[in-house]
Amino acid sequence: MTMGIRPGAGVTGTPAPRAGRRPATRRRRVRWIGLAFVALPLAVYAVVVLLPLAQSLQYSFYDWDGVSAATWVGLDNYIEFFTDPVLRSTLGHVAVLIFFFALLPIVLGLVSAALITRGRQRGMAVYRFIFFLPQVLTSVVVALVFKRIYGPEGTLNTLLRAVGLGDFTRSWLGDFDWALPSLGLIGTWTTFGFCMVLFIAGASSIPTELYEAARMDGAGPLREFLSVTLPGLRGQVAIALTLTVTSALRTFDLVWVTTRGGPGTATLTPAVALYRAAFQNPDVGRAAAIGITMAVMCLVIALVISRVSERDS
Amino acid sequence: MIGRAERIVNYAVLTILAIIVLTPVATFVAAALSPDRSGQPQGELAWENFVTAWTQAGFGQAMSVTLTIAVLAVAGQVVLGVLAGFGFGVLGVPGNRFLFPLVLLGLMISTEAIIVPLYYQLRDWGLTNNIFGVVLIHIGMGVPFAAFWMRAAFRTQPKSLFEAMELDGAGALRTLWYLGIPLARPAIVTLMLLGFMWTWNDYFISLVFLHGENVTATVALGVFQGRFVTQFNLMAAGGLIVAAPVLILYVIFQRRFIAGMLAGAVRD
Amino acid sequence: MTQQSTAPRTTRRMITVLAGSLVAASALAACAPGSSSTTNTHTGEISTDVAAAGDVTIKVSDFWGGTEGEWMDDLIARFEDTYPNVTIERTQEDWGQLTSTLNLQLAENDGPDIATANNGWSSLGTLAKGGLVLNLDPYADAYGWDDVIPSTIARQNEFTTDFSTIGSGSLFSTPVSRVSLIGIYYNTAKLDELGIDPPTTLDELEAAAAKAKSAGEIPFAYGSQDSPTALLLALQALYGTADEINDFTYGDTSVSADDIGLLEAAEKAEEWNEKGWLTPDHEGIDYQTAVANFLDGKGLFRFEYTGSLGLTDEQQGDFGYIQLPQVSGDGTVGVGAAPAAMVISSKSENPDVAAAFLDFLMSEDAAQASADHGLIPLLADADIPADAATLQSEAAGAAALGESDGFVPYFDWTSATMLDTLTQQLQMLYAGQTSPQDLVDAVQADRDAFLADLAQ
Repeated sequence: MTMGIRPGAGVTGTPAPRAGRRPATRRRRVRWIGLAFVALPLAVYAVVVLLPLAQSLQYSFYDWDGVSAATWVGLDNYIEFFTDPVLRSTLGHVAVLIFFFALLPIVLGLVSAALITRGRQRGMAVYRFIFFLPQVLTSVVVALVFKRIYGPEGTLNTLLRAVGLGDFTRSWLGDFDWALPSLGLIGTWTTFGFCMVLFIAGASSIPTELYEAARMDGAGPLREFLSVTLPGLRGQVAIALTLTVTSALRTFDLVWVTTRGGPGTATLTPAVALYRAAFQNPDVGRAAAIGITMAVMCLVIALVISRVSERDS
Repeated sequence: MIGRAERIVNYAVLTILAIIVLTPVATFVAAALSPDRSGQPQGELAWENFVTAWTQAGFGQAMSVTLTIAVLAVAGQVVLGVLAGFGFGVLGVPGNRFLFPLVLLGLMISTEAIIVPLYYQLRDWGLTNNIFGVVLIHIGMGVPFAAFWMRAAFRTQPKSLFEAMELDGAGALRTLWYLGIPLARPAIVTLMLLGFMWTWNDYFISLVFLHGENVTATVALGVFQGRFVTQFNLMAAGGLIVAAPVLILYVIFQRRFIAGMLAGAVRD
Repeated sequence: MTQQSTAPRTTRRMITVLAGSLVAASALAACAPGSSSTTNTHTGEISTDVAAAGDVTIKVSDFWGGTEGEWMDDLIARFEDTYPNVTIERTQEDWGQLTSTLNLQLAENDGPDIATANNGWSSLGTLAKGGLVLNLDPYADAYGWDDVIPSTIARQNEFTTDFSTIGSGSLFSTPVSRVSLIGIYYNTAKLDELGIDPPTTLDELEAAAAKAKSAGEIPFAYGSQDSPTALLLALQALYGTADEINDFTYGDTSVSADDIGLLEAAEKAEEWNEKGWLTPDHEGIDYQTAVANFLDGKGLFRFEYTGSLGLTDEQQGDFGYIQLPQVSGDGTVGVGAAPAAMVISSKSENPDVAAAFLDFLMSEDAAQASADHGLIPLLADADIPADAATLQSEAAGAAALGESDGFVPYFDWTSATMLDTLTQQLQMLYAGQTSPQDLVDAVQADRDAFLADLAQ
């Protein structure tokens, strides 16, 4: 639930599975030892993650206040999520957040990766350090930083007044139209540096010959970007997209610390709705249904993105 | 080689973007050092804000809770990660084709999908509002990445070394202890750093599971900001105190942090 | 970054694995969640003899900080003095934290014996329904609480034992000898400066606000980012009758949201907002900032819960309190309740001692302690220190409500989601995204949905 991005699958070249060279009997013994090694990690993982996941699915078919007996309601909780206007609106908010958390940073990252000539840069380490900074800051601090900037007497309004745009000042996080984009821009701020470093690193591993060939074909900078850089970064873009889209879908900390979903329900996200249903106005079945729906969406998004990037190659 | 004009463009782009990233942080730091309640920067620097914030918000208690959780969780994640990574990556496991994807699945499962039942399950075990309960959650949720990470690390090591040691009659544990772990030390250090950061920065799990005197630093900061909203300089100082441990590690080990986080995708 | 080609394959295999294991696990977990319900009817004899209970430790969790916390500490010390065999361990928690985790804490084996719950369905109702807190009827009989607690206040702690209705039936929690009201505070110095007497009617209040506005002052110190409802609920109590607001809140379907003064209150709030009588940019001001602004002198009036300003002894007298009479001129109605519902855990091993402590919290001694700590006494008479000018005006407000039997409960007890609904609707009203009538309809719809759910 942190704002930061966590790495995982799709990493540094894992070698292909090894061919079994050992004699069958010996290998068999060793493999059972392997099972002994993984038993404890698997057990803890099963108890903390897999079992609750199954229970979550189960809860989602019940109407339960968390205390008294539950009643079976079938798919009602899911139907409610997609028909209740307030709950459904959270999906629209997610779409806006995806623009700011995912699309904008990736476009920014690509543009800067294109502008920056490949090859070693002096002082690149310092820049990388700065661009990654938002990733290591805890989300509560990020929220506090921006809560101040967006406040009625905040930095942004002071700035606007100073340049004679006093008419544009407003309570950014209290304004029905501006609260969501304002939150979104915080996401842009936290993720674009990550995307940029990812893309610059990726671009520097594109074979130089491809660029030379493009230039010999008379390609301008734009053509070169579209025909060499962009295809070469397909994998990185897929990774960045998966990470940022899912983090937009799961936004909680930022909203909880700044607006709690307000004004009205203008910044309510699925995760905030889940927290309220689970722990504030006990409706555990609905909370579980929101959680399962979010998990399915994350999986589907990851699957679609990886399929598309695979097909293009 | 790149030309002078190109280099200037490069630095201009990088510098503009760096300023965009740094400005919000810089105003926050300036506010933390301001003697003015509203956090407007003044001539003098009020270092005592950190002391005031520390004492008024009870951050000492909260920081030690977070530190305990983070240290225990990281230790657990490393032990389980090394075991699983060595099992999956070097020894081989029956049902590998089913079990390893099952573990990797954990990389895609968000906290929200499991938090509700987890709550009731831990309550049945008397582990709600208990830091060991939260440690258990962090370890369990950390297994997928730790296993994945350590498996990759072990598999980059020359297989012939392990086989040679095995031929010498060394058991699996001995091989792991004397060969695997020393060779995988850099990966272990990165795992520790990332695990520490994720545990330290966690807000959601702490918010749900811990209350009273067991609140973590991030949650304490959330409560503090509600109460001291009119003393922004103290709030900012509190924020910096909470962010400091990870920031310090980041300054020291930035290459490992960045390499570790760049190395991948899809996790919480 | 060389492994992209294997990623989708892995993802697909993971999904297959996921589907398979979920089906398997769901089959294993066949029984419905939460089916084990404990009973909350007291079994066995009860005793009011605390001294005979032997050495007993009682754990109390409450959300009272500041003066309220001192009041609690004071009473605990006195109770322990009276009964040396009793030790009371008090844990103070953040309000939001405690209310959201209370159902879980009470279910723990070493959870608190006594806790402060929030009245209404979402907190107390859930606890009572789930059998987590004791039905206190036997103790009410033993201690004669019926004579101590006025019926309007007692209703706030009652549920029928089939949990279909709030506001009648058995007692599941007790009040304490102090009260929390919603009313209007004014800045004494500013009122003097403007040459205005403390308003005694809504018309006078509006006249004062207009005068303040033209003098360049902010009439109402306000923030609507997170907690905007006190203003609306205070205004509602000027228009609706005590009976109808009470009945609506307790789920009487013969009373609709159109009958309870809400429309007039919403129209008034909208009007004041348009006239610029509320703090500028209030949509971006959170509750704590709004309170601080008012204390700093930025604003003439403020609608507020009593006790929330956190006035120090020196500030007593800087701010006065007004409980306006009804617009119709028919007595005084106002939101007022004990600051918490005190519950006894079903898991408590010493419910008799716990009940004795609750009885003590409703005693004359406790009421006097309230007054001594600058809190508004309830349930018993108390002498208010002459120099506590603010408290005098607050206690006068409570007395006016008592005379008209005009206590109405917090409106958000109506349903588990009512506070969210009101907050959202009010924010939308100020932003011109909804009308007063739509706000009323949304309140009605919220209650309808809640009652329908309850009837299932």
